[in-house]
Amino acid sequence: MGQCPVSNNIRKLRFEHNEMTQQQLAEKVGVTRQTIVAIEKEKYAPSLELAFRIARTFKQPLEEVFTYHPPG
Amino acid sequence: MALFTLLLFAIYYKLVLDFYAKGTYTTTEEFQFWGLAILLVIPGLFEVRRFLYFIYSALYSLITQRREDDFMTGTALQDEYNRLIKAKALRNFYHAFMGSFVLAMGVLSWGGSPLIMFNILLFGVLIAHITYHLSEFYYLRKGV
Repeated sequence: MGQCPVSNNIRKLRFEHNEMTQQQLAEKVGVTRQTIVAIEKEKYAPSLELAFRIARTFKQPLEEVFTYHPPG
Repeated sequence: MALFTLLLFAIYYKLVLDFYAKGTYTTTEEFQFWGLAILLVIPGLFEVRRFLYFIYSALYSLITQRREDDFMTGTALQDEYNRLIKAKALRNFYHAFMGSFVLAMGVLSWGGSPLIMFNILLFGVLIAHITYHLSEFYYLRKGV
């Protein structure tokens, strides 16, 4: 698998939101904890819908949570 | 999971060979026999896998007093990451099975017996299932 082109601040944001657990975030956005783990470790770039749901959970604009790094 | 599939297949294959050895078949009956043997093994291995996950899930809940995450069980929540992994694993399953199918047809066209052809197909199903399990494991570890 290549390097994921989307990085994120989810771990930091969870910490800033009363140390929210991965399980709690997963339940809020309607996915499994493993999916949150994969996104945090940048092994998986979430769909646009899930990215918006995560950003909305943290009350942040999308660009504050996710950053796109074009290849090359 | 792949090891369990192997074990289960070995038991199943032994049963199939025993049944095959007991009977005397006309060509049509032989085709029916092997056709049924292959038809049973494809859903059979998937169903056993689901059953195993169910047992695992129940044991996990019992021991940890927590609900299992149901990530790969296919019994509850199916999110986008899970679905993508399953789709890629299924694609690999399909490629492995098609490879064995082409090989089986090749053997048949070179004058191999139907017995060899059906055995290649049966083992093709096994290899495809193992490919499926290993793919799931790989994509879970490495990401998609």
